Amino acid sequence: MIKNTILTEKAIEVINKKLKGKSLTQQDSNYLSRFVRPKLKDILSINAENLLKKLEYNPKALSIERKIKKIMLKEIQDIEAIIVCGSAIQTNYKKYNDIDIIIAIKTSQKDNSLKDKIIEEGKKENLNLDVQIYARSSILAQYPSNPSLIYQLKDSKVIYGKLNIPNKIRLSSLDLKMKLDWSEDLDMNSNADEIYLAIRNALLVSLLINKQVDNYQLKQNLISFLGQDLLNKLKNNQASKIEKKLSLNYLNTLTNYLEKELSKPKWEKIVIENLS
Amino acid sequence: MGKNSDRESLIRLIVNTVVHEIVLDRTNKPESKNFLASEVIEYRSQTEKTAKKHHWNIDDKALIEQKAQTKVKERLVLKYSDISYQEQDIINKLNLIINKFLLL
Repeated sequence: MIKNTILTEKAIEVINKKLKGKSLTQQDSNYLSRFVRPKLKDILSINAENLLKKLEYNPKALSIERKIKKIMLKEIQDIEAIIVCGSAIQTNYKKYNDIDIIIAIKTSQKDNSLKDKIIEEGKKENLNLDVQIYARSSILAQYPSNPSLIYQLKDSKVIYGKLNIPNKIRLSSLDLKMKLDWSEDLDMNSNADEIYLAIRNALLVSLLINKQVDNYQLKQNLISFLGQDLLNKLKNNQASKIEKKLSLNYLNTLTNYLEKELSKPKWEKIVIENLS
Repeated sequence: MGKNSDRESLIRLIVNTVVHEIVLDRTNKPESKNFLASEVIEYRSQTEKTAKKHHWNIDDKALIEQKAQTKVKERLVLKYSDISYQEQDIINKLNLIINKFLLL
């Protein structure tokens, strides 16, 4: 017997009739196909566990965001938006190594020492900050064709100002091919974190050709591809030569497959909609 | 990481920077230019970071330049065969990067 407050009483009644093999009226059949099945399909598309984590109240979150705003507004001129992304926002500040921040400013600036200063200010507040500073116009111009930025902004939170990103992107096979260049010329002497980054980029490309922009899925794919233990070792630059060799074998297989795929005309343009 | 393996990483990053700069200059896909430019910035900043780890003598610089030049040509032929370029372009771009980031 199904008991579910998400579904209406009528829906539950029709489902139970169907499950018990009782004959359905024409009205029941219509109800099942027009209301119940689409609703169940919608439920399937939601990652409830992940969503619950994000919605869970965390008293630390507000204080962290307040500190970030204070540092940024003090150090940077003409801020249009402060955007927090990455694992900090995906876990509602519960499980993260650093806080990834994108700052949108009015016009681009070339002060490289500014980032170092912000990182130092962050440390004073016990915040491990990783900051990227771009002109707002540059973010908006590169967003539709920049795979990493698309993924970064997918699960992000604007904590100051405004940034209206487009709801539709058009990627070309050239954009994705370029992302695979991070895999070129890696060998067992390369840093393990370089190998990790190349694998992450290759998996990101494989999701994008399936029209998926889903950070949770990307994380799951990384774990299925490498296993949690090897994944951590690569990320933290602690993998042995044999582990690097194994990872490079995986990477080369994936990259060869993706390069072959991307040479097909069907990937010339990839349009993904409803990103928000 | 030792100097030898950092040198190999550096060559890899310089090759990627130059390949992306050439594709950026020559591509007929204007919609990709913003993304390509951002990738060039990323590769350049990684190049600068790796280059700063050591001092590089004249022999190091010559070896890096020679290896990078061969690899850029290989990559352009193998992966971006639709992009036309001039060899002098590669040499100029390599010189600029090597002289800017590799300190004696």
